[in-house]
Amino acid sequence: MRLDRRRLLFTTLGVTLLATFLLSAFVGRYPRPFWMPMRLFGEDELARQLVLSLRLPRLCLGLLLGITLSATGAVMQMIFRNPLVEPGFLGVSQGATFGAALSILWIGSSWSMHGMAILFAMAGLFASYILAQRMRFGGWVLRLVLAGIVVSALFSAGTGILKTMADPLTQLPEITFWLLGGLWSVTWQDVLHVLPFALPGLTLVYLLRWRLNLLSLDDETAWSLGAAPARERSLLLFGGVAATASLTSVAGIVGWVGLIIPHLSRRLFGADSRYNLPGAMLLGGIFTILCDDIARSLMAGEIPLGILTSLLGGTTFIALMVTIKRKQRP
Amino acid sequence: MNDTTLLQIEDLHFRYDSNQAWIFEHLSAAIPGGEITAILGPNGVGKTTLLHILIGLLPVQTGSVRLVGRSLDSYTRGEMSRLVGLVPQLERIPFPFTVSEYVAMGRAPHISLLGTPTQEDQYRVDQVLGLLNLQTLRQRSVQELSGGESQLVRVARAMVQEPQILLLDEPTAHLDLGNKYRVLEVLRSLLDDRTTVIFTTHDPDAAFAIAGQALLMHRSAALAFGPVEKVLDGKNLSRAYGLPIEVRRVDGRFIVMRKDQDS
Repeated sequence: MRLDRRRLLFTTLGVTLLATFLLSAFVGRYPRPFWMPMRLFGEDELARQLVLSLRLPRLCLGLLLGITLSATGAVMQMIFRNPLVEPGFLGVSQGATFGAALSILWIGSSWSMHGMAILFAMAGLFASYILAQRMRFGGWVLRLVLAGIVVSALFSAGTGILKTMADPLTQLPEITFWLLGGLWSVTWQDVLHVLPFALPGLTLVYLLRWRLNLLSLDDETAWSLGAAPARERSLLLFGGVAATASLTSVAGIVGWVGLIIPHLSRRLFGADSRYNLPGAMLLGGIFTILCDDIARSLMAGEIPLGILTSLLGGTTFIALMVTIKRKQRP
Repeated sequence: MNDTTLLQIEDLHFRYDSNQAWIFEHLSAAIPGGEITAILGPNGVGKTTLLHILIGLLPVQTGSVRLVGRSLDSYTRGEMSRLVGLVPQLERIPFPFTVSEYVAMGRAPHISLLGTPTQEDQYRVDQVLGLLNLQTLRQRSVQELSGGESQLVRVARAMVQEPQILLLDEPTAHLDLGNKYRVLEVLRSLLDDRTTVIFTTHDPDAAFAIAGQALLMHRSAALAFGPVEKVLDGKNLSRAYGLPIEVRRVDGRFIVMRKDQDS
């Protein structure tokens, strides 16, 4: 791809993300549906408070969520050498859900929910990995996929049991909304809780973005080029999953972003992760913020973000699949 | 070990599992630098395994391997990758990298862990693509290449690595006659900058065409090692492959064929 075109694309996406972020602070249901006139920010104390303490933290978290899901999706697709993998793969999402439900039922503080979600997401990843290693048939990717399905199913069953035990008036709705994914309750404190996990993970992934190309090659080739495939893949996986789990602990299950955005970015920037990974981060931020804008402004009640990302992500995926060039695989 | 020896293999044994039989045992060879060495032998004799040991992917279990006078274990990953390059027999590339992006990955041993290729690296990539007449493929996807193009692109990737030793696992397998000789020609041209080439093959013709030395492996051991004409004679090949084989010399070229049953 020509340098000029790439630079133009990055500038366009960067400016679009910035504009989306800033303008989204004025999108919502106050004082009327969809749009708050900007002058109100200076004139109306309630409007100012709304923007500063509700919408801005929510936007920051939406931005981080989009960036993290897309980056982790891109990382997982590269290291599992499979374009259909996404961050919730390998028991990560279901593990996080189980951890969060456990915390809602028996502990209750927001810190513990974040901690438990991260702990169980990691446990899901670890269990899938160990199980895949122990399986005695099939290739590595097939075994990982199967192990991921089994571990997810077990955690899913566990969450089911917890739901039957939950108080139907207080705890059950909380678990259900968490499962649907959303950012309605986000505070600055949540943003602060997420940052220590998300920032190191994202920084690591960003810095190793060119190295990811090597890790998508066969082991013997990657090894001959000086990489330590198993160790480097584990490091990236750990960084990505820690970041994803911390955001999932606040936002719940938000699907499709991590699958569709890396595809879209590969379409725009090509297969080289040096460019498509930052591209996916920018696109993921824009996509998630826009989805959240719709989630909080379209109807009087909030639409869960996970439903919107699935709806838009699924349709975009269909469009990508039917317009894909022959011979070119994503 | 004399002065020209680059790779000294002594009494090397290897097996994947301690309960299994050796893949090979008592393997010894002194491979000289700046030459082309062909490794031949029937399927399953451990040719690919040997290459994997030489890049450090598999450990030296018994015996020793010395590279430029130093034990293989004493090299760091970085040192090894600047010294030895590998072109595996088959490579699945799951994403549609352009040829230029893919070949640039060969620069990895010269780029820090967190780095990306510089303009100088890109210059090296373009130079090697030019050398192999592949400039027109620069922006093509590696998934759209023909068998011959793909093999040459993989050789280019290993060449930009600038290794002293280039290992190739069956570089001419699955290639048509034209592409086979094109690839062999490129390997021969590597001698110009003193790169040592070691390749495995099932094709004695490829060995005769470019190799100076040959290692013939048979039943988990080295059957013969030395100058290619001496190693790949009728007697050795017949023993290695369990068939009556003769090697004829016609106009200075060697032709390998199965002996007629009635002759």
